[in-house]
Amino acid sequence: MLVSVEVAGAAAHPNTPRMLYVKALGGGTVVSLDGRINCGTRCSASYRPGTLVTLRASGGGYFSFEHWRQDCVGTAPRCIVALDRKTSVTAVFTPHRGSVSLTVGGGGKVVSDPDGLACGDGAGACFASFANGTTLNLHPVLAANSVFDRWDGACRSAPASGCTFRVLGDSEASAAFRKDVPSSGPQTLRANVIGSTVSSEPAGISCPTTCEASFPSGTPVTLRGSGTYIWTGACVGLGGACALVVDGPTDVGAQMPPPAPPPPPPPPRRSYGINVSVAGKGVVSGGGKIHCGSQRGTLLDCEGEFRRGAEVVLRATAVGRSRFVRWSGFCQGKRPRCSVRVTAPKIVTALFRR
Amino acid sequence: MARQSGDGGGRTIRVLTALGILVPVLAGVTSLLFYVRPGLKPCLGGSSAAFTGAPVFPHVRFRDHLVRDGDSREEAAKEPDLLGAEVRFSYRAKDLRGAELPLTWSLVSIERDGALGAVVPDQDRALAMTVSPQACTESGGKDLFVVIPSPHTRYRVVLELYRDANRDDRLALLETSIFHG
Repeated sequence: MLVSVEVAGAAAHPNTPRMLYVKALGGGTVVSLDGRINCGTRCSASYRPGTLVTLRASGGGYFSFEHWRQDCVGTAPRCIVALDRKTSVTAVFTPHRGSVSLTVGGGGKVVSDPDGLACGDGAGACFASFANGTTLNLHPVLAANSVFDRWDGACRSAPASGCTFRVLGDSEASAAFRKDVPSSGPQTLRANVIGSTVSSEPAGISCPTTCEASFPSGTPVTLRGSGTYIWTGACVGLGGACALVVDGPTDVGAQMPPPAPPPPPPPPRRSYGINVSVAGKGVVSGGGKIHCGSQRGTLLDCEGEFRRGAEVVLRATAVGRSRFVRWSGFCQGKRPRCSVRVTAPKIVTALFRR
Repeated sequence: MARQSGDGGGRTIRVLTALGILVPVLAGVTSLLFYVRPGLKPCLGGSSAAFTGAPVFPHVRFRDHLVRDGDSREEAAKEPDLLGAEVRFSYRAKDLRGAELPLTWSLVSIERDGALGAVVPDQDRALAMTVSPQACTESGGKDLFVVIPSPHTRYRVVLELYRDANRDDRLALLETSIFHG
């Protein structure tokens, strides 16, 4: 999702106010710290030439800010634009992802459109993630001698032909198939539970105390656990519940997934030096620590240490009759503003000439 | 007098006995404390630091350097792909726990006769990082990327470690071997 910011009026008279236009296409907002831009709702404002406007991008709903494009670069959600020339800024937002987990009881399979899920009847893709907002279609695929019985979970009220829903966060769905000709007489449902508890609806199973129960053939049963399980046997998939039809001797296994390995310890936050040199008459400042090239001050004013991953915006300002010519080192180009990513100790040189 | 003398002797014995118990107990508690919380152990002796090595690997691209440092190729691709050299230095610091030691580098050109030439202007005591030892004796290291301005020149890198931010007191200095740019 994109939000575009455009500064107009670069070719206008030096004192002509510069317009800052913001286009919000959804998924996030861009606001200016002076409060004049708040896009989505207030997407333009005029500024005096040379004004520095700080923009901040914030993800909305199920979107998060990813990076800037064009005249702002980097992944930090804050960017400063100088209204001294035509400037275009784009904030890129990407949707969060939601997970869908499926359980399938009986002989049959459920597949998804878009692809990602194919669960049951020998297929084991019972968990997938999709971008939030995706419209997901789930279709039952019958196996030999099977009939679709019902949906449950996120698809509870869906018709037998298929289930359609929007992915927003994490969700679970269940599908149950039954035999086209059920066995006659009462049938046994046996649960083999490892690690926690499972109960049935209608009552009968309350495992680990009662792990076996008899139901009239063709009884729709939903097994529920106290957490998320890997289901095996007559029910397959991943989820907190499994819907099935007891129309023959039925064995179901439920096992807690192995605990996730502990996350690796975060790497130490390192800091690196950003070193600025000025050739000619001019001043380079930025990052709140660097103010290099002025008559006063020391060489220590030409360096600063910043956290790894930070973005340091350097600005070159000519003094007297000189003019800024170009950057070299880890800044490139001829524009007086440069953004340096702190990924290593770096050097930057600004060249000014009369 | 005899009685007073007898009392004084008894008191002395009691004090010595108490000290004989207290001192080992205190020593034991302190040893245990330092074992459990080694960060509380005071550093004894004079502080010092030294570079223990700094081989130079010339003809390195900055993006390759970043990837070796743990960045993804995608992240590294956002950086300018400057040509330089990688200085893989290591150091040892003794009794400097908690200090903040600025580490700088200088790039010096080498004349044809092998004499030291001029310092490259924008790489004269450039700040690389701050070393912060966490233990009384600590070893560490880093791969430092140095931009090479001219590929036809020979260079040497000078690493310096200072005791304070003002760089009044140098703890260690190391000149790397000469390398081609």
